[in-house]
Amino acid sequence: MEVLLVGAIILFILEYDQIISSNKFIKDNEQYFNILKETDYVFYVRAKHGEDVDVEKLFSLRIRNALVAFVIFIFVFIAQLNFINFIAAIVISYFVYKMQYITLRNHYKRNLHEIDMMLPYYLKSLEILIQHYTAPMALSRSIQTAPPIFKPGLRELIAKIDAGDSSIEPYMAFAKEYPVRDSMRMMRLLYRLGLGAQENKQEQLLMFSRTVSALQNKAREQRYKERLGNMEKRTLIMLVVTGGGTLAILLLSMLMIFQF
Amino acid sequence: MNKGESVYKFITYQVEVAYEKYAPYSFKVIREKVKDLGLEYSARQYITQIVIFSVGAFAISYLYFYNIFVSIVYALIAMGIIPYLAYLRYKRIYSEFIFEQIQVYTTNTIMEYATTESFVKALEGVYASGVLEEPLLSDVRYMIDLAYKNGDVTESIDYMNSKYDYYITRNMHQLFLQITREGAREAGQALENMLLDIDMLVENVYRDRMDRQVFHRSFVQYGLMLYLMIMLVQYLLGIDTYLKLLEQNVVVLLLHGVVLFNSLFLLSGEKYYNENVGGE
Repeated sequence: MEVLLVGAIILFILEYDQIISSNKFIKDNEQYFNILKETDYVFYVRAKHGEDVDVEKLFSLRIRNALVAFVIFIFVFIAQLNFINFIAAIVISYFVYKMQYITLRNHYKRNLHEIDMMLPYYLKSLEILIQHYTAPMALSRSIQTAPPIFKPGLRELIAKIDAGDSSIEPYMAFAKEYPVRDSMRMMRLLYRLGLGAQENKQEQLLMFSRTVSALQNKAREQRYKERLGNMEKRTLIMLVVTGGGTLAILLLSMLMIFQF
Repeated sequence: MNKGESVYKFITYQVEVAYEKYAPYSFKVIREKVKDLGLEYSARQYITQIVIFSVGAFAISYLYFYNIFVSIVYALIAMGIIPYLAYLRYKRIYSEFIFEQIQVYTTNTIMEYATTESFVKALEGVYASGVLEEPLLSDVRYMIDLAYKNGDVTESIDYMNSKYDYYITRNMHQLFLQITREGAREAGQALENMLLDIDMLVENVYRDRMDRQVFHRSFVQYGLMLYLMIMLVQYLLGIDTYLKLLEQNVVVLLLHGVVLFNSLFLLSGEKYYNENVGGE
């Protein structure tokens, strides 16, 4: 314990006097730490905290926490430091490192359904823009009013189109980034809408519009069904808790009667 | 005036004074609208509600605890819940009313546009037609005034979008903004589609409302019936044994727990039912 305290005080003094800097250490070795960064980490961070968040800062926080956990564990077991304790320190620091990622991923999964619901409404507003603009132009104009979760993906999509990629690939990349219901189908439709000649656009647009309306309707019905399901669940919980509670009292009373 | 009448007047006056002093402004606005719609309970209905709640709570709690003092406390708590229930009910009625007004506003604006071919003229047509009620009526007037003042509809649209955050208003405004800026190129079909979307939304919202009403009714029935499960316990144990058990503090505490939990479930279910009327 004393060793731990002395170690912590020494580390604090060194850090406070800026003799050592954990931030500088992380920054200097950023390229090595980046190997540890999950490919979808940036996406999950933006999904939770929005576009303006400093992803690198959050990532260095992860690294710092993992290193601190490692150092603390080593200090705690410094008297009986052996290979197993060393491995345990690595496992714990890896767990601390992964914790933020797991929290972010769980947040995304919890909200995936909400994102699922957002797509048809976003497509509806896009459809209105496509009445007057070409599909890529409408996409770039829609960014301002798009749900925040779609914004980074849309920017990427626009950047790829602006760079001259006229294939379906940027659209598919967007659909893969947001693997929500019907995203593949709708992005393919959108791509074809961008391809068609201006004379045929109106017909294609009408088809797109009908598909979006059907999608919107499906999402709405799903939402209502879930709400009714929630009410049903509440009724069931009430039945179980109150009914079960009353029966438990009955059992308890019977036990008490036998004791009288 | 006999003594009973003056007591009644005194109580209603005191309630009014307390209401004016403590009720939040937004609540007063909502209540005024509900009153205008003729859906506000009359004093007689409120008194009936108070009597039903207090007598019901008194009777149920007496069945549980066989203690007049405890029953009085429960009756008072039940009476205290009435303003909250009224608040939830007002909120639901107000949201349903606003949604109805929004669908009237969007449908009529699109239809007016078909004849006037100008968004502001369509708004004027809707305003003058008398189909809208307050607060939407004043807001549409404000939109028109802003459009004339600025020579542009952007600010009017932003104002309405911020005040009534519905997808249908946003989509309609976006389309009209484009039409105003870029010209009405083949907008007829798009507007027709938008009307169909609104029809579909309205149909869904009304169907959902009916479904939820059915669920809500059975939820409340179950909740009330669960209170009476204690009668089953008494029937199985015998009333004398039950009274003997009530001498044990643990049993009394558990019984309070059952009553309070059931009441909380009922209240949270009521809140869930009255919030989010499904307009979008």
